[in-house]
Amino acid sequence: MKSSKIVLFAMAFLVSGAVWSQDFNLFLQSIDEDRHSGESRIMYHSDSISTITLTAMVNGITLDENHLIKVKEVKAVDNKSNSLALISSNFYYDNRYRDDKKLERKLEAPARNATKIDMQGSLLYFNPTEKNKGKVFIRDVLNRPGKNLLEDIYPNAELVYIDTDELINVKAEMEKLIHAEVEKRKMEVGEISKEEKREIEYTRQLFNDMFDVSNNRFEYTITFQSDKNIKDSYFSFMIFNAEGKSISSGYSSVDNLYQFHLIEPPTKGCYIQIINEIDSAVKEFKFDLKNVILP
Amino acid sequence: MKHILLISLLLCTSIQPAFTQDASLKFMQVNEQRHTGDAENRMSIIVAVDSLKIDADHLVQIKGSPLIIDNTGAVLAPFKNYPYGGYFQRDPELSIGFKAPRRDVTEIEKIIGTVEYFTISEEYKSKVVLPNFINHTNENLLASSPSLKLILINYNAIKKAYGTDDYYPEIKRMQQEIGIGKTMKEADIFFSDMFYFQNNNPELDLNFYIQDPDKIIHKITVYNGNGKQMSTNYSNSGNRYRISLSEEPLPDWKLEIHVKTKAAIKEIPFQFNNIKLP
Repeated sequence: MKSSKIVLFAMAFLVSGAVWSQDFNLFLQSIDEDRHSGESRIMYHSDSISTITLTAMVNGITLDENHLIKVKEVKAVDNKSNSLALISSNFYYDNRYRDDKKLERKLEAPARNATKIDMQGSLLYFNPTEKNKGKVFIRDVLNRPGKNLLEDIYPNAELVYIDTDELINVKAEMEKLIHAEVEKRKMEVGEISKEEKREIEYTRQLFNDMFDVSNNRFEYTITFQSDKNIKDSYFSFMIFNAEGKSISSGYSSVDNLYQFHLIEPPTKGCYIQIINEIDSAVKEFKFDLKNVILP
Repeated sequence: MKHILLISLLLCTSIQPAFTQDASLKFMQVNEQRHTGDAENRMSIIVAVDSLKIDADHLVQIKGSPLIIDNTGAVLAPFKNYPYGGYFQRDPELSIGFKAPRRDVTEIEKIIGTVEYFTISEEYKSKVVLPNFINHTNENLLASSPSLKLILINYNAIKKAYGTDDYYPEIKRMQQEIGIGKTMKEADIFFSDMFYFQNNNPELDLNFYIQDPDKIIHKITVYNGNGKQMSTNYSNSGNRYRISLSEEPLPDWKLEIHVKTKAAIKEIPFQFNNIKLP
């Protein structure tokens, strides 16, 4: 009697769709399957294959602007041994961290005669703090032109504030560089094509706009040199004024130069906040959902 | 020779499209949505009407509820509402919706049903055009069809009497002489509701008393003297039918009524066999 109770409990646990890892649990809330064959205009399907959408809820862990989650990997297989390929995901659309507890994965549909699927994978939990260096504040920026602002924070990263004087020097160097490149290209091909000329003109225009210190808009910018692509390498990169209000509204970049557009001129007390997905700020949660009954 | 005959017979029984004398339906698509949540599991089969003219005056619909049987012998309950038919449409693609079969079902053994082909024309009395209709208030505009009644109310006249001693004698006369409402009580409710639900601009509305027990009036449209459509929308509740207009109506405007007469509807039976499920 006692042993059968244990077996029953174990079975219930297996099919419940919940897996526990410390406090984290992933609860499989629903399965929606969309199967179709043939074509029609009134029921147009952008995908030619049938799909299954698994919706799960992340529970047991804090999720907010400082506690974010994203999928690392998901593998699903039906009980006819078909691997269900990932189709798309509107959760973590570009697989960026979010604070939404809902996890949605669209996979290739299982076989019609399949009755169950197994799903396993892992999620990454990102909690950036100053302590784990996932969140960094860089102050006293305007007093340190030409210095690597990340020197004491991330040993292998470079972020240099370029002030107006330095910008004028950089502009002269860049112009020389473009001129040299154009001359080199002329030697190679003789006559530069119309398309190439247009591209060169466009690059020059972009430089002129970025380095036009006489333009009224110039005082509403701040320029950095970075060894990394700022957009791709950092989860977020924002500039705040001395009162803690975000003043960055986008940026332009050429080569390794990043010019941030601000809603007010930068002042002495302004600072940079970088949120960076580094190992010390990320925890991995594995999940393993077995014998999930199909609708 | 015997083998060839047998093969031909087998091909005939498994082929999907169903042919009638002068029209055919083409199988297009199977769609199925299955859910673990509270949404119903549904399946729809899209078929297209082939070789028939379909335009603004030639419409199609699936009649009633087709018989749908899966390969386990289960009869699958059809859906009757949008987007699964029950209305004439200009689109040759028709959707037959029904409760999805069990997961272990592999094919729909058969679907047997009827497509109705509706031709809108004066010849079939399915198109009634009434010129100068605004001067024909308080009379049955569809008197030629015994089961139908469509009476344009002289709104301003009855509104003028509303709240005076003339009101009840007037609606009593309209009930007895014109047939607005089967009883005086019905007539009273009809007019009270008409005033209660009236918009701010009664000049841009046409208020009708309608009797259509078999729901055969398909559409009522108002055109100006140049043939431009002037009706913008309509509302219908019980015997009240109101058409909203983009301008105040003039005597040269026309009312066009489409009626689903028996002569205008041709029935085309169809059957599909052995539809493999995705």
